[in-house]
Amino acid sequence: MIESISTSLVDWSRAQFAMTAMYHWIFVPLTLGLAMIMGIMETIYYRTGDERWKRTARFWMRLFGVNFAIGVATGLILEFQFGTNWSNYSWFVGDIFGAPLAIEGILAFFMEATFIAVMFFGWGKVSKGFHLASTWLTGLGATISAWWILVANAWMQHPVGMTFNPDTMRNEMTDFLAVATSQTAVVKFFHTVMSGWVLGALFVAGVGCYFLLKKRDTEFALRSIKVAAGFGLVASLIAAATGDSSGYDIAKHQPMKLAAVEGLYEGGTGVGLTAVGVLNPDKKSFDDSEDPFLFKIDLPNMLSLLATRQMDGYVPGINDLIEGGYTLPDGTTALSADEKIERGRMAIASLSAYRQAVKDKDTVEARTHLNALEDNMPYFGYGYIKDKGELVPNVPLNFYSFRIMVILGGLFIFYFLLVLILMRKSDITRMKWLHYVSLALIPLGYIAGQAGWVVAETGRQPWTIQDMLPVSAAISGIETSSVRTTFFIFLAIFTVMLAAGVTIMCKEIKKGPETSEKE
Amino acid sequence: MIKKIFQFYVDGFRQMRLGKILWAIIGIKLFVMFAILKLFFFPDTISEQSELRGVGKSEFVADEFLERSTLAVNDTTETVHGDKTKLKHE
Repeated sequence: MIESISTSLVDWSRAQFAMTAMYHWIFVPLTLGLAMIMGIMETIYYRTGDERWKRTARFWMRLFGVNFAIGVATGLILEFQFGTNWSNYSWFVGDIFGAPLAIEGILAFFMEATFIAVMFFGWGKVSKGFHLASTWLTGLGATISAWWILVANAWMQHPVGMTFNPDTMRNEMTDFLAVATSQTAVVKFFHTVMSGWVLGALFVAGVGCYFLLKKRDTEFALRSIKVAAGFGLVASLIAAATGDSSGYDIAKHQPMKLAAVEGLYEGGTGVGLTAVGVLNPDKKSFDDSEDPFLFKIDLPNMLSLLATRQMDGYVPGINDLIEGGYTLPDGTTALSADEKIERGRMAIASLSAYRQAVKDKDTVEARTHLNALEDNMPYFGYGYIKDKGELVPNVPLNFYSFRIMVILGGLFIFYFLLVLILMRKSDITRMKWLHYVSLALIPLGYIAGQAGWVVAETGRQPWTIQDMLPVSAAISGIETSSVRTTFFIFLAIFTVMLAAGVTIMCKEIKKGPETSEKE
Repeated sequence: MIKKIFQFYVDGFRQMRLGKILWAIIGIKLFVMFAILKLFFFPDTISEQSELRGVGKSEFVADEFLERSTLAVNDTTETVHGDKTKLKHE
């Protein structure tokens, strides 16, 4: 047991979790996207009976299998970390996380394990309809798994449907539906899954263009690109729409994240959205007098519209959120950071006093302190905040990550639309520039997804659970060196796995689609 | 029926080519994760440390949360007890 919690322990624990999650997210979105695309291709085969579609679907299934095998269980490492590096957090949320993660585990195991086997082993052995259903159910299983994981994540961003039990020191679920269908969870699910679909479409279009560049399997490539472009356009448009809903949700529940994403220090009404901007590197703290931007171009009133659905709506900036005093949408006055910190300390003091009263078997005292705890519980986490500057997330990281995600998202919409138009009007087999662009967009698809998660997770710092538990209280009191050691072990293992995955994937792509039924 | 399903899987696994490599990777990965990492590098911190302190798990977590607040706020020890006293008087 260590004597104190150092910044370095917090940083290494965060770095390890971030690294593992980012590796995990290399595999998941492609699984989600490819599952849908191969489902569409097999459906066309089922409806037309055209064997070429069957071979096309089977090729993408092979790549789906490679990605699935390399990626499967990488998420389990995150669960190991909960118990070791984040044990306080894990205990605190145990009852809330238990249900979604258990459902996810059972679904992932039974649905995916059953139907993925039929999908791979069942060609020619089960009916075409049953095989098609298995392919779709494999994708549906993966998507439902994602739902439960994202429900758990959404709960951390906007905790609902629970009560804190000071006797067990755990949050207990009081409303399963509120947890499973919160607005944050719904929006997060659609936005995240759509980003996976977009990546799948970019991957298929990019690999298809590889075949066009190599001047082989041209018909197969064109079929794949056509499906990918249509599917990708729909997915990227939905991703954009759900991104807007996500912004609205963040404005309601995590206004500091929105302010950091926009580099907005001084809020107001009719606030513009920064389309392009360069942050001032000399701006070190929210309370210094430096201008936050060296240069920026605003879209007038757009941030107000996104955050409040009104052109002249009020959007608080970082300084407003720290100072408080502005009117909230429900008509009450926003507390300052100092007031929240004070309420947080009162919550912790009440918790201590309550537990002592229970030990002393003083029920009257226990009831008094329990009431005080319940009154201040929404600010519990603020009792761990030493300096109000800690409440401000990393502004440059959020500002630039958000813009990378949005700009790439816009680029993808344009790209899919362009491909569809070009395919309709001319022959793309000779457009080498398009083939190279398509290949280049595959890594950009991954970058966009990772940038989205960077915004989602670093934008809510210092919280592991919004307003309830900061990282400094959530981590285990273990040696920094052991977290550092496991960080590098994971880095090595994941890198080897990724290299193996990419090598096998490239080999399978080079082999190309089957030329006959025997292959 | 069960025999048919069993045979379906047996045939499927037998006919695998790329799948064999992928299963080998999954097997190695799971072995490394559960037999090495989980066993030697990822202990259940709360179980271990609460046992060391000779307290229950919830007691241990409560102590952790109260001690952390002391670490976070210079005067929290006083604040905690001060508030406790104050609340008692109330």
